[in-house]
Amino acid sequence: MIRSIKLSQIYTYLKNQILRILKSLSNTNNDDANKKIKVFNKNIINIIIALFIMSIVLLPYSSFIVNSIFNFAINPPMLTLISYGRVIMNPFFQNCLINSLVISIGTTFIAIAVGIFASYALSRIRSRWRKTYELFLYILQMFPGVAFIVPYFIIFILIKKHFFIQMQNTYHGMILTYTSFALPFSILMLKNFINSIPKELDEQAQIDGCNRFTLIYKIIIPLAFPGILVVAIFSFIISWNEILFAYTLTKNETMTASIYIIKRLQFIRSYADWMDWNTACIFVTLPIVIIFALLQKKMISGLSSNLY
Amino acid sequence: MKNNKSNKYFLLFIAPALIITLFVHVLPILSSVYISLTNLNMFNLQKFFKAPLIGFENYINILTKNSEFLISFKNIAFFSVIVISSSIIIAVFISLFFNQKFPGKTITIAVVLIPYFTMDSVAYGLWSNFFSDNFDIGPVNSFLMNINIIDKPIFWKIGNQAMVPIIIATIWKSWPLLCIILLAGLKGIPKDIYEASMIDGANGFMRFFKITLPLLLPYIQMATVLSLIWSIHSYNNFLVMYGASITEKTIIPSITIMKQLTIGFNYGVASAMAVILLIIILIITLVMIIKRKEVNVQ
Repeated sequence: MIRSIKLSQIYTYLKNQILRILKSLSNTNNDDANKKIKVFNKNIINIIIALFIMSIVLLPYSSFIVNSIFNFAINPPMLTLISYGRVIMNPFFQNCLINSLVISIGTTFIAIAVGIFASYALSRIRSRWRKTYELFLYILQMFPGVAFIVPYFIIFILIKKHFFIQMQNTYHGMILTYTSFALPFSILMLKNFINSIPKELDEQAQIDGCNRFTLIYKIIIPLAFPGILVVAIFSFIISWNEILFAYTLTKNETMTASIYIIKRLQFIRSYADWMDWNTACIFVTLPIVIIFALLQKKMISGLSSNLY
Repeated sequence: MKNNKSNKYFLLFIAPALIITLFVHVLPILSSVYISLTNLNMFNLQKFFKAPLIGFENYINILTKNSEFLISFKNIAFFSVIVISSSIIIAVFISLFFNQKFPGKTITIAVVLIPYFTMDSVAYGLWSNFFSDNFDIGPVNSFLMNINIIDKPIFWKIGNQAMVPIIIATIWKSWPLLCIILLAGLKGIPKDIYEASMIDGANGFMRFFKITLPLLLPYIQMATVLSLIWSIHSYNNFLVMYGASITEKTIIPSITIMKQLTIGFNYGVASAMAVILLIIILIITLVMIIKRKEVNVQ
């Protein structure tokens, strides 16, 4: 049985609370209660400021939701989910999502598989090349993609001419170009995660007879697994969001989702197009927001560790 | 002997990464430098190795005759100064806010970071529609008309006001990451300095200007240099927001390079521009590496 709450009960509860606060305010000797009220007031103000910041940041996103479910062509605006159906069933959009997934996962796989060895070397093996290599990677990470686009464009044409391997409009060509920004980034970030594993563990393992490869396989990968996951997600997100290489080096066959969004934006002719564009944006953004929401603490710490 | 062996191991472990780096970074940059010294274009692309070498003529032409490239540098300088200064100011204040304890802090930080993780084409496409010239779609124009500031829609993407939409959109997307950098810096400031200053009778303003700001300064410098590099990188935001309608007021170096590549087919000129951009980035990065050492020392 649910007990119904009467108005008088609420009134007495509030009155008691207010009386308690007033009592603690008047009683100047009671420092503890005063402090509590102060903290409480400060929290309220902080939460209001936090809500204000969040609402400004999220305001543009509300446009997606409103425009994807309301058809403003009709007056009054009609609530409809037809654009969701239209976007999901669009074979070209499905194709773009699959292209994006294949290219991003391929890039992530290469970056992690190669990066784990290099980052282990950077973190654990004493060598005179270590500082130089780290600096080299750091500089590579800062290079603009525009500097690579001209030579890639020409090298791809030359490879096709002399070695008869198609590079433009293919998955392997795209993955290779994406590796140029994913690899230095992953190595540097993985290095920070491997640094946080205590060194005594691998010394112990070496005494027990592990060589360096089994050590990576048995000690480093299991212990650094959360870190590896974070790095993988970051390189996935960067590849998923990439525009420059995808815009220049691919045509319709391997068009990625982010290019699809740009192309659709340039051809908005009617309200139906406009609704579809917003819905496609939701489909493309939502997976990344969900992944980020699930792993936010780890990802924020990874983010700030890689920058300096 | 042992040192020699570990050197060997080091090279063995980084070998796969080095091979990939050789193909995706070193070779393209070297060929870019070579192409920039030739007169390579669409017509002699098929006989790549026989393209005429013309020395530094491309560079001289870019810096003296091609006015578009110089204008694009002026534009990117203006854009960077406004975007960086305002996002740093926003980031300083909001990181100070995040540096205190209150319920719901982690959720707020996560929400604030969502713009950083949003796809560029989605985020800038959205802002592009906000500033749309079309009265039906552009909320900014319709809002300004509703409160009677303007009486007919403004064309935001051309003319003198063309930089306004992109500056607002880029600030919205770039301040969260700077905020995280500065927050890491604020966490490093020891609490007892504040307690000591409170005993000496310093008020909030004095604490901010005499303690927080000087101790945060290395991090602010780092954030400034990083965002300078990112704003020189910027291509996505201008491409998505202006696309084909880019004018002299909004052209930037990366767009100029892409125009030479995809419309002009002057690969030599495009490479020379890219090499100039690369040298500028290299200088800034070296400055940053020196700064990074200072941050680590403290």
